[in-house]
Amino acid sequence: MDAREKSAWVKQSVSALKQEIGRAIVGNEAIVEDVLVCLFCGGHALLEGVPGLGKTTLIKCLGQVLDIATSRIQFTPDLMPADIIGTNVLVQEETQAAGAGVDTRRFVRFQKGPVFANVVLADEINRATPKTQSALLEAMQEQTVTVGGTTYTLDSPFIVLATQNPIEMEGTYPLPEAQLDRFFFKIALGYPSAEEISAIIDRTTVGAQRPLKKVMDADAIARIKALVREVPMAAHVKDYAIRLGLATRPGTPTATELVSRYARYGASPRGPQSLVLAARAKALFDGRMNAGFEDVKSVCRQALRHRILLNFEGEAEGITPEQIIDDVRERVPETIEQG
Amino acid sequence: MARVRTLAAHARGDLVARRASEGLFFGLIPGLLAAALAGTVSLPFSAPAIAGYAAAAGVLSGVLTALLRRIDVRRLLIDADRSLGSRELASTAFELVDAPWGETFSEAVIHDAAALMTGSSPRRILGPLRLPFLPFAPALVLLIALALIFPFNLRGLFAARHAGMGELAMIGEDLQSYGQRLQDSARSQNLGRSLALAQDLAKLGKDLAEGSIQKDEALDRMADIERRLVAEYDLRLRAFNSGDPSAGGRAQAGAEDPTGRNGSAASGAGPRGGFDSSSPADDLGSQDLKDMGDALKRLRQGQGSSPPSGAENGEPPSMAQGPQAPPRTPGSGMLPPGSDSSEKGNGSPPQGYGSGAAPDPSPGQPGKRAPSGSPGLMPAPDTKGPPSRIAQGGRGSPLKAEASPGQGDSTRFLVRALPEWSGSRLPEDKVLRHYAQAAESALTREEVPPRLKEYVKSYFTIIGVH
Repeated sequence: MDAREKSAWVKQSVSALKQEIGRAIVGNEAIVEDVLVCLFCGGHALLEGVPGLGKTTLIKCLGQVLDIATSRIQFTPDLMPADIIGTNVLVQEETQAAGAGVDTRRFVRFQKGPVFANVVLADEINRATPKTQSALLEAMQEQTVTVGGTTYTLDSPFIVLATQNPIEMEGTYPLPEAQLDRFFFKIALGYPSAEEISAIIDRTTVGAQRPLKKVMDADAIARIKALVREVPMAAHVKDYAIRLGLATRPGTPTATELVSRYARYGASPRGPQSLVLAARAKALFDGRMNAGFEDVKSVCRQALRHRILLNFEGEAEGITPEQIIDDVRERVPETIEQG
Repeated sequence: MARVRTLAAHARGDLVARRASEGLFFGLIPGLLAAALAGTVSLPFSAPAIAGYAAAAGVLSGVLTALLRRIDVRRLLIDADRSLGSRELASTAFELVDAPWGETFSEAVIHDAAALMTGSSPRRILGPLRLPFLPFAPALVLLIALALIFPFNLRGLFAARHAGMGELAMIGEDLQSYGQRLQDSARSQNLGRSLALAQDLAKLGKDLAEGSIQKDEALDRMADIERRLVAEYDLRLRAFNSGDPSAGGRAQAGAEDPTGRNGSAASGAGPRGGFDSSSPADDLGSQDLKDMGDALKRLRQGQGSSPPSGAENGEPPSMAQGPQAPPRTPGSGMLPPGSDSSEKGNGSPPQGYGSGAAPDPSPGQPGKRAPSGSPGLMPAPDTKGPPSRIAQGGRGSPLKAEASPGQGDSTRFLVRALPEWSGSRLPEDKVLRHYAQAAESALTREEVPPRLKEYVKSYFTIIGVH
């Protein structure tokens, strides 16, 4: 299979995935594509939206169409870290040898938690305590889990798809910045249109839903992940992504006026990382073999919105990170004259 | 890469064209300036030549800089991607040639980019050639042509305006002063029309000094005063030349004073006598009236709205009339500095019109009356200044005026020229050459536009000085 065939295969595979998910999810094609970008970039996604927009449904559908292990964790305030990553349990084994009595043996065995899966659905992740949320930190970044001095490696692919509700603040624990930064994308879901609501009603209130079929296995996912990282990106495009990330930091020479006034912190190096990798994936999904400026721009909001922290003035004036990102995207030139 | 080289060559061609266009535009600007200044300063070349040289130099420098500039191929391909909408395919491929990113897509990307570049014309890749400033170049050429066809003198414009304003105020002060004196004199003699004339003159002088009136209005008012002044002179002159001082006195008195008080004064004996009352240069003070004429003349000259009155009369312009001339004192006339002393030195009897003009009845003996029948005007008893003019021989018919003998201090005198307000007291044949030499010296010493040089030369040629 040459490069062109590989590119076409990726495009076709992703289209098949989208099509199958689209059987259960009405609209939200861009949201589905963003989730797939996270999947094939090896990143985690935080889906944010008011209740009823299909966040959980989308992630469940993804687990159904992928022939990989999926798990779901419903985050609650009394959820403990061990409930996520697993725990050591005391196990007693009785063996009976020939001509001998029953030999009883006790030992400690690690009982894997739900994090040991390829796709982990962390539903309403902001309802768990910070201690429990932090249990995911190592898994999300290192793809390992350490319990009792023993480190366990998670299977690949590993992706955490978390959801959170932005309006119910009572009894919630906002995610710490360190954990937020570990999410590759923060995907915001909006309300569906009237036509989409009509289609949702038709699909969910008439007859039984046909289960989704699996269209991609772990091996295919791994191959696509590898191909995404092979997509060439010109130096000036990469430079543009870097300058976009730098421009979100207040106090830097390239920071825009909006950033300087309303932002407390800007994007970490993970921001440009996400931009570059996601741009490659977007180009490949589009059947192209190189990433360009438009690919970078198309993932700006998803990759940077959770990495920009507003200061008090910004929050008081109702400034959103999206406004700052749009301003940065508008003001940062694609190329700069050298020399 | 061959395609990239071809593209770079086209890009250099475009760059040359752009820079040449810029050079042409910026080269034409000095040409425009030269054309604008051609009437003001002397230029080493003609304005069209300067425009041509500067434009050629601009084009040449533009071409040279374009040829010497390095073509940034990477940048060129970034722009090519933009114009082709190829989403950075060409620029990415250009980088992959030297530094392959990975084995999977590099070859394919390079191949696709090559196919894209080959299938697109360089003009499409580079975009349409837009030559900066070229549309403005014809406008500049047109402006240069207009500046050459309708030249204007910048220096003359600013200098005349600046000097004119200062001298106008000065003349205005003089006029105001004369007007006040004339008013006093008219009041003392109860001359209503002369009083009105003097009041108008003082008002004009005040307005000029304060700068509260425009040039056109000043000229109109000045013309009106002049007209009235000339009429007044004519009236008195006719009355005086009628040979009947009493009639003249009556005419004057009738004109000015219905009560006939002045008429009786004219016919009666007295220190001023018939001449004093009937002389046109007398009852308002001949020096005042003459100075008023001088001031009005200066006003005309200072405004530059009309040729100098000397030129109108065939006289050379006074060299003391320039902006740098020192303020004149009443009675000094239009003489250049030193003229009075030279005249006094020659001992010739002063000739002129007006009581203040000829105080010397005998050569070199001021203070005595001129003998009867001698050329010139009869001095008035209250002389107020030195002689200010000389009658020009041959101009006008000699007039004979006689006072009635035995009636006061009357004197017979001869008028050899029509009255004029001002002018040189020297014969023009004695001063013209001197003026011409001074003018020639000034022309060679100062930066005078060639057209004005010709104008001055033609002036002296016309009046007969070669």
